[in-house]
Amino acid sequence: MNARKKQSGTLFLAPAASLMLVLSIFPLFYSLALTFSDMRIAAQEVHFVGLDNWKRLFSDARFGATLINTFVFVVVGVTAQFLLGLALAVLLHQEFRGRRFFRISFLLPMMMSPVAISFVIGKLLFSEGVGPVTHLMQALGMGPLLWSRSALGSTMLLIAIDTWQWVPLFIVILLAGLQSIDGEVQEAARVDGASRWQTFRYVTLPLLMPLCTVIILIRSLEAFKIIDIIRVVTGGGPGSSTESITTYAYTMGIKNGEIGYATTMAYVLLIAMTIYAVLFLKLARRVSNWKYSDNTPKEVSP
Amino acid sequence: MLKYGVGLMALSSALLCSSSWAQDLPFAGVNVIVANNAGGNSDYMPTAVAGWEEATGGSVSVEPIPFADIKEKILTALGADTFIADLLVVPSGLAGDLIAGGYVMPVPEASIEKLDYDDLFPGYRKNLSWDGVAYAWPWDGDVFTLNYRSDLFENEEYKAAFAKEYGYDLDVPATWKQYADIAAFFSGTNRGVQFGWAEVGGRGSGSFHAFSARAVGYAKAAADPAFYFDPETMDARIGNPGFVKALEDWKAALPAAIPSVTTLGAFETHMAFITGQVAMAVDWTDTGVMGNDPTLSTIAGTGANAAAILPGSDTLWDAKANSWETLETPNQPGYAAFGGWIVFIPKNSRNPEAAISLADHLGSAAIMTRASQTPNSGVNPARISTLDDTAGWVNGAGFTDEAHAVNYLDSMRNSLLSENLVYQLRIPGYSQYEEALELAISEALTDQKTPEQALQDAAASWNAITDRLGREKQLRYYRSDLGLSADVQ
Repeated sequence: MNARKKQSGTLFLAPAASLMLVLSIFPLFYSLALTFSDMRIAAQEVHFVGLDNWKRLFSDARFGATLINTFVFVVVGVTAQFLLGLALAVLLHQEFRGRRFFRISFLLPMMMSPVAISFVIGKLLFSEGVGPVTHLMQALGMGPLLWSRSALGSTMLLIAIDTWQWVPLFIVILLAGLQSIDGEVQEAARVDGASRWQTFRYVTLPLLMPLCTVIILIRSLEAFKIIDIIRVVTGGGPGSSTESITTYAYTMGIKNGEIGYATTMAYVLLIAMTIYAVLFLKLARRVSNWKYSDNTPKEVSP
Repeated sequence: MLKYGVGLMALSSALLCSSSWAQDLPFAGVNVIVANNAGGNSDYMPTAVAGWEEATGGSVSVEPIPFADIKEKILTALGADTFIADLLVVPSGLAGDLIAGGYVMPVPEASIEKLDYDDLFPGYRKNLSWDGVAYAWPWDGDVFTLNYRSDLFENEEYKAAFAKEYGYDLDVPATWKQYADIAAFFSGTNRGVQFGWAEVGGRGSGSFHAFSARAVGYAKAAADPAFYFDPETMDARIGNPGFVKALEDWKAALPAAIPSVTTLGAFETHMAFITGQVAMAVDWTDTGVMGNDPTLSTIAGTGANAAAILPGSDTLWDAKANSWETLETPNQPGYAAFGGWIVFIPKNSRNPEAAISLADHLGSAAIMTRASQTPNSGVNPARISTLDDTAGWVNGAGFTDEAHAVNYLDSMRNSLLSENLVYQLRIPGYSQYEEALELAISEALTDQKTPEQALQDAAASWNAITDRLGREKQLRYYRSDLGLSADVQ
């Protein structure tokens, strides 16, 4: 009976497993195989090139720069989005007039196309020739903001656009988290004499931590693949100072047709993201433990 | 009975009509799929094919492809022998990949006779062929010219001030040095415009062309057909002192440019000029016609949008002699940037006969001329007869009078008939070379590297690309592109 049950279980699982094999596992291994080939768009022949693509990648200074740029986008961008999102979520959690209006308005950027946002902010609002920001700066006697000729300026503009778009995601999730916290817990802390800040720092925030960990991780993994905003606003420039791994892989694979080399980059991105996720989760666990154990406040001010 | 007789007569006459209809309309019921650049060209295509549809009974479906995806979409499909379209309208820079890949059919002899290839400017005629075999039909031509504001250049007050400041007369610049002086004179001085110049300086938006347009003056010798590569070794020349000087001068002129110049694409450059922001713009000739369109231009109807051949240089780097040469008159070669959109018929076309007929229609002088004279068609003149039709340009393209049109047409004619004209590079892997050079330009213009360092790095990248693609093969294609014998002597 057990054997028959097992057999029928296997049979029921087989279609889903095959589908998974065809749609997920096969492409993964196929693309891994491509990293050992010189496959090009429209090339008549494909050759096995061993580790050539990997060797080329690790001697490619431009790739090293894109790796650093990508980490900057992820770390600076997601940190800014988290802090702003948390602050706004806390604000929207308060009772005040027009709260519903603000809750909806804050969500709008997330619903818009990144390409449209990038164009409107990067190309129109911050246009160095005719943009309103330029006019405002000139009116204030500050001269035009020449962000496109500065690596730092371009990076900051990209991070600002990405932040503007993705803060709402943090607001939604963290606001839901705040609403799910039992008010009695916070009330109890206040009864024990905790100030508002202490209640937030030692009660609310620790309770939000699991949610924060998940949302930061999801958003970081998404930010690793940033391409749309860069393509529209800076094209990776000036030089390659705002080029991410994905934009470089796109250039090499789609524009230059070097599929084998671009796939190798995609694999390095996958490896980098995996390492980041593991380290981040370890760090998050440590922070959570720290929160709940030895660093809890010994006493609260009266 | 009578009823049946009338019915029979009606049926037989309908059958007769339909057979003669089939004869008159040879492609009735045939749908030709055209792959074309999204926007511009593809928007105009229904107008361009209307006459063909009416005359042949065929129909045309346009499949617009975003510019950035054209190469990938077309080459991926053809590489896998998958049908993408019956007729391809593609940048001439893609010719090397399409022909070397064996994906497109040669132009039939009958079409060559019909198309009057002799009416095409020599560079564009050459653009359609490889090793003496025509593979492409003509449709568009592209060349860079200098656009300048004639009202500012003719202003007596400005002329006097310029002569006083620079010690020579304000006139159409013959050298990039003069161009930089004029730009500095107009920039930020409330002399009718805000900035001196605009060019297609954006990486990925055409800075390869903007830089090439400058470099030809410093590094293209009339006696040497080669420009980008050494035609004996296929070593990149872009790191040589001529190219370096061009980039140094470009960078030095930046303070007088529109601030966003390092991000500008073609449309933004056209607009910077026709909305009166800059005194000069170097770009494609669409600017001239768009400048006459009152819905786009603030200078429409004034005749102030004038054009001329590109400025050049009075010192020339001779790559063969490896030395600078000082010239009595400036070297001002034309530069056929982009080379135009041309038409190919893939070997796996489902309706090759109808596609050939449609390509013949599009490549005819009448249709090409009408398209060129239509603002926003995305089509520019490639035929000599198109430039000879001055009245058509005045009536169709909004030039204020004959002199205004002639000024515009002469800027193209003089560029395209220049013996030292440099054509769009079209060897296989062109986009890789383009990308590497555009990165170097961006690095140099934004102070990340010196022009010399950036270009030497780019030259090293070009040599690596050549090696990856096969040096001998690339050399053969480059020599063929220049019209040299395939074998190095």
